[in-house]
Amino acid sequence: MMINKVGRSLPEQIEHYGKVTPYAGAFATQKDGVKTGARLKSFKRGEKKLLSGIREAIEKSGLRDGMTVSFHHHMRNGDKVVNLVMQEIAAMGIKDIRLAASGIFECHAPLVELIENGVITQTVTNTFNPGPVAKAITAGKLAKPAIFMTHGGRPRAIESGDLHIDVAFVSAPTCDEQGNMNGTKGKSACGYLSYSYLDAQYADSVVAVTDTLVPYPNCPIEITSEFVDYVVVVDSIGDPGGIVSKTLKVKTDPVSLQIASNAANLADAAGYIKDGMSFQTGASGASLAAAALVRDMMKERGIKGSFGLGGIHSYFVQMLEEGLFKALFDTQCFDLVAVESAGKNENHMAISASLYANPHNRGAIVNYLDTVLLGATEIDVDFNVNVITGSNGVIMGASGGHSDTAAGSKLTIVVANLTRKAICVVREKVTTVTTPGETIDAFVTEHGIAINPLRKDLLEAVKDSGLPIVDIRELKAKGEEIAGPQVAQEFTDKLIGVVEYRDGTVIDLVYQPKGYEFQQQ
Amino acid sequence: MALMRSVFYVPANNPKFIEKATTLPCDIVTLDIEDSVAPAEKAAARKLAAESFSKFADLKAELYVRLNSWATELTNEDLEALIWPGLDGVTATKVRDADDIKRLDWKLHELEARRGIPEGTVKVCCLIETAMGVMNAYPICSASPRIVSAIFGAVDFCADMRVTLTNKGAEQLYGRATVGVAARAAGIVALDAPFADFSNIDAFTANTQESIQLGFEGRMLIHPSQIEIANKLYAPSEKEVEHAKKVVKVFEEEGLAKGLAAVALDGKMVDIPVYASAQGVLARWSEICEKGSPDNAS
Repeated sequence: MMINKVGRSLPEQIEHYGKVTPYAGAFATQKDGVKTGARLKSFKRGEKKLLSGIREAIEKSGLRDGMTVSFHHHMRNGDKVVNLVMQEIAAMGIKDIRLAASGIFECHAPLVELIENGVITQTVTNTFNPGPVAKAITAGKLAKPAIFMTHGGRPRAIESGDLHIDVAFVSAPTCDEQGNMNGTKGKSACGYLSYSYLDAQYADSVVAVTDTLVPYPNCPIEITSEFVDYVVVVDSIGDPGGIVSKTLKVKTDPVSLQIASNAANLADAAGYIKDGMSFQTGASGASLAAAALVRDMMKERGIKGSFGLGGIHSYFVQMLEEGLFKALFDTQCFDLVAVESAGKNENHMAISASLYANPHNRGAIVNYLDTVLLGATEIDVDFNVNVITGSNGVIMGASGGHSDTAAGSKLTIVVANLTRKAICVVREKVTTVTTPGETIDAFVTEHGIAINPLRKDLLEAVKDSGLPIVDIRELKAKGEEIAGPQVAQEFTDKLIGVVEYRDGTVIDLVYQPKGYEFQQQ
Repeated sequence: MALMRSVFYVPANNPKFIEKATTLPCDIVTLDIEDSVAPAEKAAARKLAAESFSKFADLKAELYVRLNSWATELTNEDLEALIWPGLDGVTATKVRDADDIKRLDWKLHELEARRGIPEGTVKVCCLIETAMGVMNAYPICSASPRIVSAIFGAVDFCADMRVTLTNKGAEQLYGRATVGVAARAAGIVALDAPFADFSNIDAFTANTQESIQLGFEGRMLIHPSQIEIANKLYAPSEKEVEHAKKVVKVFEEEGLAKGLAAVALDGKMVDIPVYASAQGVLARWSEICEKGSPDNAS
């Protein structure tokens, strides 16, 4: 066994995963080499790509037992393509598929049956929402351990050859017969298709699945026809109600608002609300409220920022339109306002997941980020963060861009309610390490702000700010006072997941919680 | 507690009306940027309102602004434009629940801190004018220490209830009484709805007398002609003041001084609650006299 940099015990080899490289530090594993090759194919003039349906595309792609198929998650909880394709694969009798979907949501409940009957034996994901598939994996139903990557780790793995995709199925809100696609137009518009760019470039076969076939040439083009083997038209690739929200709004619960104030004022006190600033938030209530506050501060002081990054929502769009940001770098749209903006504002730019966050390229945008606000299911006294499992060990999420932005940003702020029901979010050790504490600068709650002692400069910068700065152990004590004594979850020996850090090293393993029984609902 | 007998509303996009409001004997002037201002005029109204603060600086009337509700998504811009020194309070509209007030409280706290205004300076009046608001009246009224008053909004309440607004107001009785009780329970002032039929002074007077019996201590006014009547009706009469003086005197001299809990005055019992009520009348009278407008109470 080996012990990695965050103190987790790891075997040298994991069955169905391979050799384990232990996490050695956020920037310890660098690469200088040659990217993997992509398959070269030649299509003759007049060769038809438009096929009769998904089955024909699967047949022509040569998909067989043991292969890897990929999907992107921009259709979010409205996605229909993963289920359509996987059910067709099952109907064709193909088994032992590794499902490399960049995200899995509640709408993917039909996959549970395919996991149970051995059609899907492994998942590789970087976004996960709580739902039936997460529960099925927690219950140990997958034949092989799930692999959790980050948004930057996935393109790294594809480019390095660690993640080889045999067939990529790309949901395309509009597409022409040659396979030119975009995500910002059509009845199922979901915004830019950023997470599928690398899949399209490196997969052996690429199938565009659309519900809006348009005359050649499709305008604009995000993924060009040179990468696309086949085009399939289906009735619907997504349920618009589940793809994006009409518009995300600031929540009104006072705790989220208090946390938002603390976070925005911390960024301000630390000197990051300034001309040329860059900023990223998620779409939670506290994050949106903090974004709204930062906007107000910028407007009042006449601050002109540089860029907003990541998942784009209406608040960022508003800031772009008001001239508070020069640009938005978009990896996915969180609401319809963002989708509309993506289709019309040239400074609202699509970026690939590699450009966003890949640690092994010539400079991902996360490296230029000033401030990021992130969430947590747990944080420990060493500032390690868990966003993958709850304290009960049940899978609730995946890293997404958490570890990537934490590593790249100058100021990484984790925001969370100190307690959730009977759970104190601050633990002695997190259940699952997703993001190492060395990349987390501050933890902001409604009961105060804990600054990572490693950031002596930050402690110095905010010491006279009047902000409620406390030691993280004080927060832990306060949380336990509110939520009661915390009992650590016990686990079986069954390995259900491997958590990769963005550089491909293993930062933690997920084991099946003792006594957990699968319930679909 | 500042007097709030007459809360006079002025559309914030009308400079002439604002100028006129500086000359009126109301207790509060509220610059409205909500329903009396068309959507296209909101930005101009905010600007004009903020520029008007200095006109009210030396007046006895307090200055409030009526905000657009959170549901309109205009509130944040309203607050960013208007929370500056010189403003005494804001009126939150179509308040649905305590979270609406807590969100407002949070934003006011944040703006006060950012702009160097002492914390808690900006007071809050809650306009309860929907069925949901009435059902949540007490939690709303007690949601923040900034809250000093709650208004029952009859017009929007009737619209929300899908009933016709009348001068007699039977359709408003439940909502009106609920707001009165909730405000008193929360220790704040209950303010009654505007009386839309402003040219009918007799009906206005009758309605205001009824409102006093429901616990309201002032009301929203939409026409200058209503101000002096409201000031008079919501103040204790000379007869009430004289009686209160007698009650206090007899209870303190014959009761408290001699260790008795009840004494007689003109054949009626005076005990601690009667004494306390008389003290309230005198305190209110004293506030009116201090404000320099005892004539309005005569």
